[in-house]
Amino acid sequence: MSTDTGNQTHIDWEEIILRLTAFTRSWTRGKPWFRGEKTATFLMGKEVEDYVYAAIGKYLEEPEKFDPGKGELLEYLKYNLVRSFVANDLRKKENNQTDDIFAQDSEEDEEDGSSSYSERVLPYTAALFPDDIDYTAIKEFIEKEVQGDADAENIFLGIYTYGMKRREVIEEFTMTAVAFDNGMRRLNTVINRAAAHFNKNTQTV
Amino acid sequence: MSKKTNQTKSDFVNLFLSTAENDSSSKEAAKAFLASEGVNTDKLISEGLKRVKKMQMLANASRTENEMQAAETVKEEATSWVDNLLANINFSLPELVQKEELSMSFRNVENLSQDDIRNILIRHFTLKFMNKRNNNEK
Repeated sequence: MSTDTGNQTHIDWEEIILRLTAFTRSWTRGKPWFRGEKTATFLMGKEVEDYVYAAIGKYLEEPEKFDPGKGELLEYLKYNLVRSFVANDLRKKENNQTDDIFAQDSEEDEEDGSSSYSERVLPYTAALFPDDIDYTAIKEFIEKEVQGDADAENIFLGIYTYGMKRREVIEEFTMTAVAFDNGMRRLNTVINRAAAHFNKNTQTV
Repeated sequence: MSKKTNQTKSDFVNLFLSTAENDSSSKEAAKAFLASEGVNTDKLISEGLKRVKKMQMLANASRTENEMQAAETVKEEATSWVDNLLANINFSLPELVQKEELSMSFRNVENLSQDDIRNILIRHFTLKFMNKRNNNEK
């Protein structure tokens, strides 16, 4: 995606645009969990793409803030993007669920810490999810729903129970990439059903 | 919230995130996902590249402007430094030339006017202060 050739770093912007837009669109699909399907305010009146280019613009203005030792440029952009979503969410008056710890979010947090950019995305995402959902019940619901679908079952087991990544699940359960993608798609359908079943926000703004 | 609940929530969020990671795991996966969402990926790329190029140009222009402003400030600092130096009753050009290793710039010192000397010194100290500033920023 980006190759360092001496003093010049070549960035494949086509790949960055595609992957960052896909990530953001997919990531914002989680809003039924924390804001309900009908929310009109989650994106703050902006398009998904506006967040994508805000993250890219921030990098272009201050490229020195990106530390390649903490991950690839795409991971850094994802992290910045998720942070800006959370920061916007903090400012909304209907937000009463985001963890207080993130109310302190500041520029220092960006420079602080030795964790990789990809590790930092998880707590910021988790901050948007309410605490008063019965996650154990959701887990049981999903387990029951994927029963009999071997690939979806294995993917769920690998990611949820063992925290595996895509490549690790494929290797561990000796499945093809296509089988993984199809299984993941079916698992997502189940997760969306779970959102409709469990989330108190589903019908609210 | 108990530690166990926290862990269960974290496991669930991890599962949720893995979906977004999977949808963007490669250029091809991203294209396929976006197409399934009804996005015209060719248009997304062509408009996106234009937008990035414009942002790059704006960022470069802003950086150049900042550098020019910084250089102007440093030049003012160097001018004031040199004027104080030349006004000092104990000032000795040969000593300064030796100390600052300026022999190349003052090879034909007898042909230089006071203004020439002042300008050479301002240029020298501007560069010196800028290098110092750049090194401090690193």
